[in-house]
Amino acid sequence: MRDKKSLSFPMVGVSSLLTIFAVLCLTVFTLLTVATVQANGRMGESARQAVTDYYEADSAAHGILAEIRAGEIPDGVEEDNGVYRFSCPISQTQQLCVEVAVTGTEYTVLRWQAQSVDLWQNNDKMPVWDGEKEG
Amino acid sequence: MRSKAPLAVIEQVIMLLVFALAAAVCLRGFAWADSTSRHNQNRDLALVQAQNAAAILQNNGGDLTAAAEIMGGRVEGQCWGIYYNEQWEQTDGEGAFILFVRFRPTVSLMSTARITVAGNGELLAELTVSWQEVTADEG
Repeated sequence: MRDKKSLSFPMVGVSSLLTIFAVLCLTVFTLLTVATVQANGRMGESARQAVTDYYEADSAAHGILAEIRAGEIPDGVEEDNGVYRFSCPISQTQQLCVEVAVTGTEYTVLRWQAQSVDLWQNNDKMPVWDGEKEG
Repeated sequence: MRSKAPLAVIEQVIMLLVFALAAAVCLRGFAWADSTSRHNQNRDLALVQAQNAAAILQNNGGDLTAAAEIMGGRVEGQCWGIYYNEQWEQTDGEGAFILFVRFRPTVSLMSTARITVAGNGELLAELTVSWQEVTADEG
């Protein structure tokens, strides 16, 4: 007589494992989605602030130019042979640099440029090949 | 031998409850992310339209009629309005979003306008744009 030894795969606990796996996946995907949306929101807010700041500086520069055309020289404006130079801050790291040649009420814009005022710090921690052959 | 069937059934029920709870929480997170993403998209598109209007106004020296010919919309006096639908396409009538340009009191040799984009009862974008006038405003 043979003893039939049946090997039965233990089904108790498999569903628990599957459920835990599914819940983990759901949770991870949800967290990733929320984090992505929040990051996009912050980026959009930064872009909105940058544009608003630029146009405020642009309006301030137009106001100074209007005063110059009217014959008044506001503080902070440098003049050199009919060319006026001034700058309006955009943010902590940028400013709007303006150079205009003004004759009476006529004017020619020589420069209307957003420029960085942040000090550039050289990072030489990583050796970068300068193009020279060694040896 | 005692049957293990009740134990398995209890386990299944508990797992089902756990999954349902987790799914409910995660679905709320997905729904919040979707609505926030749509709001951010509307805000970004509103800013783009405001920038376009600002650039066109500056290039045309504040001529609202010329600006409306380029960008569309309707001009009434010193105001310029453009309606957009939910997909940010221009519409002739009332829409979900409106871009509104209104002149501010003029300072001599310079004019200023305020550009606002609003929708769903919320101000989405706001810019102040200035340009030079050829002659001083005599008031």
